[in-house]
Amino acid sequence: MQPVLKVRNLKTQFFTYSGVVQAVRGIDFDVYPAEAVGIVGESGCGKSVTGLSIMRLITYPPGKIVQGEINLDGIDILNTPEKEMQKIRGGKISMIFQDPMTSLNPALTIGYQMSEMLRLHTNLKNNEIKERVIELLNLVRIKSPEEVYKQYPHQLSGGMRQRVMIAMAISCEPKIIIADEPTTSVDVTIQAQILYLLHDLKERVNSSIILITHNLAVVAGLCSRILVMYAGLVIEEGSDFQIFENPKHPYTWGLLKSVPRIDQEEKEKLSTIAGLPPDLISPPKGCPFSLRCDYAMRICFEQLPPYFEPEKGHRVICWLLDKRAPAATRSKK
Amino acid sequence: MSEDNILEVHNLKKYFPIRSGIFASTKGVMVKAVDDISFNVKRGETVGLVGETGSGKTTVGRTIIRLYDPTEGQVIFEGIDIASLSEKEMNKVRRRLQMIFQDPYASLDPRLTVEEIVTEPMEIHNLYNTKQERRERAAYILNLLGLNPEHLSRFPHEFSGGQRQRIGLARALAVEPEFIICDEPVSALDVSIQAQIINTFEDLQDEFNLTYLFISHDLAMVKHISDEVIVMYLGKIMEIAPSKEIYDKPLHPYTQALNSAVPIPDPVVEKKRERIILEGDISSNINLPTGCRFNPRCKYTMNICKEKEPQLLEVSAGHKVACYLYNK
Repeated sequence: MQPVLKVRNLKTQFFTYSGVVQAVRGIDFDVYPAEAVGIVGESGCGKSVTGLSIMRLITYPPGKIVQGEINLDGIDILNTPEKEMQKIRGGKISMIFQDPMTSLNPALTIGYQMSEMLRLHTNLKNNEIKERVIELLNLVRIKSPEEVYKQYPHQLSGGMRQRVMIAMAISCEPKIIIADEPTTSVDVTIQAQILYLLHDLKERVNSSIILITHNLAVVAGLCSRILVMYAGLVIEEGSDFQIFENPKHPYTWGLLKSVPRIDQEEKEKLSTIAGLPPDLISPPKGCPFSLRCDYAMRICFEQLPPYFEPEKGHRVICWLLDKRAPAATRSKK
Repeated sequence: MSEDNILEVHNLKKYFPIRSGIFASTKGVMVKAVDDISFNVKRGETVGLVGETGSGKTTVGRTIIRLYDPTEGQVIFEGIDIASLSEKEMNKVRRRLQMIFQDPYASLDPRLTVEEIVTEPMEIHNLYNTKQERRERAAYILNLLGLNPEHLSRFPHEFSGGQRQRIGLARALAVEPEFIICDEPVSALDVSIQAQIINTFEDLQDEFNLTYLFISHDLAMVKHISDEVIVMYLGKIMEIAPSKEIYDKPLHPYTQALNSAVPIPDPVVEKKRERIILEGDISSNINLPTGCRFNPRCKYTMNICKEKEPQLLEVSAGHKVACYLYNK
C-alpha cells in the first residue's frame, strides 16, 4: 500500500531576535490510508509545528520550512503555489484546532461558515449545500442540526463547537485530518465523546487522522501508530503495542511512568523526569535527552544517535540500542 | 465538631445573581454555583474535589477561603465558623488557611521579585521581625521546593511554568499554614512537570502534616493524591468515597461515566474497556432540571428522579451517594 502522506527530513525554523529556534529538526514519517497516527510530546517539542508545516501554515517571518519534502497523495506540498494550496487545504487535508472558540468566526452563523467550505471546494448548488451541512451536523451527532445551522458560535457549548469544527474538517472528505489537541480544552466526558466520534468517522469517511496531543492516554485508544517527539525530533516511533508495552527510549519510559493511571491498584509515588527540555536555539550536540536521562553514556553527550530498528516498524533514536552499549532495562514500576 | 476534622462544611450555598440589562432587577434569577453541600476534611489528609466545568468545584474552594462570601451555610475551620467572621478576623485565619491557584502565569505579580512575592504574606501576618529574617525564611522555603535561593531577586517571567507553580507554593507555605486549598494546581503544566509538582505536594504533606483540598477535573490525578474523593455535579455532591473505592466501586451513574471517560495509557486495556459515553453536555446552572440534576444524562432515570432531589446517604463506611438506585 502506498502512503498517502510522506514527510522526509522536514526542518522548520523560527527566526527570532534571540536567535534561530530549530523547532523541527529533520523528521521523517509516513501516513497510510485510513490510519490514525498519534504525535505525542510535551510543550515545545515541535508537534504542532509539524502539523502546521504539513498544512503549510507557517508564516514567514518568523517561521520558515528550511528543508525537507512533504508529499501528499502525489502532490509536492512545499513547491505548490499558494493559490493551489488554498484548494488543497480543506479539500485534501484539513485541520482541527485546539481552541474551538477562537477558530470559529463569532460574527457568522454556523451554517454560513460550514457552507463556505463547500462553496469553495465543491460544485454543489445552494440548496444541496444546505442539505449537506445538515447531514454533516447529523454525522457529528448534533441533536438539532436545523437549529444549530442558524446559530452563532457563542450559543454553543465547547463540546458542540468542537463537533462543528470536526464537521467542517470532514466536509470535503479529505485524505488527511490533522487534529491538534482536539480535546485539551474540554471536559473528560466530552473528550470521550469526541474521541469516540473521531474513531467512528475514520471508518465512515475513510480519512487518515494525525492526532497531535500531549496526553499519551488519549492516543492509546485511537491510534495504531505513535510518534514520540522530543526537542524537534521523533525519538521513537512504533505501533501502539510497541510504544506502550515495549518502549525502548528512556524518555518514553519516563513519560509513561509519570502519569497516574486510574486503574492502578496501589498508590505509588509518581516517577519524574528531572530537569527541563533543552533550549532549541542551541540544542545540545548529542542526544537532546542526554541531560535528563538516567542512562546517559559518554557518547550520548557527543553524538546524536542514528535510528535503530529493534523490530519491524519500531524506530528509536538512542545509543542504548547499539550492540556495544550495556543492557539497560526499563525499571518496571 | 469531631476532634480529627480540621474543616467541616455544613449546608454551604453560594448563589450569584444575574443581571441582564442595566435596569434589570437581580431578584429571582440566580446561578446556583454551590447548592447546599456538606463535607468534612480530616487533619493531615487530602480530599479531592472533582467535577466538570460548571460543577462548582472552584467556587467551593473560593468560598471556604472567603474570596466569595457564602450565601448560606457554615464553614467550621478548627472549631471556628469562618463563614461569619469579619474581614479583619478572617485575615488572621488566612495565615493557617492558604490557597494555590491554577494559572501559574496569572497568579504571580509580574512586577514583584520572588523575594517580595514570598515575603509579602510574612509581612502581612507580622511573622518575622526583620527583613533579613524574612529573606532567610524565603530562601529556606525555596530550597525546600527545589528552587535555587539565588533566584530570590528574579522576576516571575524568568521562570518556567513548573517553577512558577513552585513559587506559588512557596508563597502559600511562607506563613506556615495547616490547610492548603489547591485549585487545579497542575493542569496548566506538562506531564513530566506535573509529576514533579505532585511529588513535592506529597513530600511537604509528610513533613509538615499539611491538609489539602485538591480541586481538579483530572480524576486519575485526584485518585492518586487523595485519601477521599468528592464528586460534584452542578453544585451538588453526587458521591463521596475513599479514593480506592471511587474507581473500584463507583456507585453513582455519573461517577461511573466519569471513570469510563478517563483514558488509560494502555492500548490492550483500552480496547477491552466498556465505554459509557454520556450524551449531551452539563445542563445550565440557571434552569436546573427538577429532581436529580443528573437525570437528563442518566441512563437509569426513574420517575422519582425527575420529581424529587435525592439525599446524600451513607451506603457503606465512608461511602456516600446521592442516587435513588441505592436509596429505595
